Amino acid sequence: MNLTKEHIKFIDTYLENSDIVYADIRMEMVDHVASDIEERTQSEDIRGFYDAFKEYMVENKVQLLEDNRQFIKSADKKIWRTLLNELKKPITPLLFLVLCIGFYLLYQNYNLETFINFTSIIPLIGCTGFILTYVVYQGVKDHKRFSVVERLAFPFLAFYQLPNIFLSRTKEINGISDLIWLIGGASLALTLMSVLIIISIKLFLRYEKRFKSIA
Amino acid sequence: MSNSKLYKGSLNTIILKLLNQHDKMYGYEITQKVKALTKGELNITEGALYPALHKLEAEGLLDVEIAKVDNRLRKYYKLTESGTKETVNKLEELAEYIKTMQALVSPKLA
Repeated sequence: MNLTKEHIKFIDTYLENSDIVYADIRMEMVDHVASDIEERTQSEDIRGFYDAFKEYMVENKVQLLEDNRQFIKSADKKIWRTLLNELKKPITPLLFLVLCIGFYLLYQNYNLETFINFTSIIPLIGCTGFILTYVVYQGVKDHKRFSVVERLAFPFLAFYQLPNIFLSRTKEINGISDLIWLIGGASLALTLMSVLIIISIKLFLRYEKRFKSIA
Repeated sequence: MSNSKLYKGSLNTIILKLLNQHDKMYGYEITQKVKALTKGELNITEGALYPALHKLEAEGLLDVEIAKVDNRLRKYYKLTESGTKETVNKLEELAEYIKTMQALVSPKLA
């Protein structure tokens, strides 16, 4: 028997209530569960959808919840792999170099305080990127929760903290090594954040296109 | 999956081979196809299948297509160009592995 819209909705709601919160993960699970139930109702002496559903869940619920964790891990790996691929592109070291030169010129033409003030707004840039890409997408557009989109928050949070490591070490510049540390650190943080914003936009667009029908 | 440790290393090759023979397949279809081809000997669980599919997708070996089928959305996987090339490599590797194992466990057949 083919499942009706109500049956599909029932499975979807059940999975959502079982903490499988991401729509993209649930979509694939719903299809898997529904296909299995259809098979059971066709090949076995099962009374109907609810009996087959109950039987399926008794046998597989623990596995489904474990699968959910695996799906989330896959989403995290996808983010880091995409980030790594983007970092390997020639534009990334070029951007890093341009930023290093820019920061060096800033240091040369203004005093140290201006330079440090400027570098301390880097976390704010990351925060703005996060707000623009994550909060606006999830909140204002009121989309469903998607695994990769939502999990992007973690690298944002990590990179957002990065400049603090460099700034906390250097309150004044004593010698060339401190200067390299500060310029290198600020450029690295800004490069990583720029790359993260780029991949966020790419991933959002890819997800929006792919999951248009359920978003 | 029965004998899971032995089959685990070949899961990607199994998926790629199946997708090479079919235009596109969805997760449940893959599990059922493997079950049928191995007469129930090999039962791929969702916990093993989907992470493998997602990994292959992230590596650019698989492409994804979403279609509405029977009142629900279905995610189809199909090989990309590099996926097709990788299938050939993986199958060659597997054939080599089987040959080596055969030489070790039953030298007369090798």
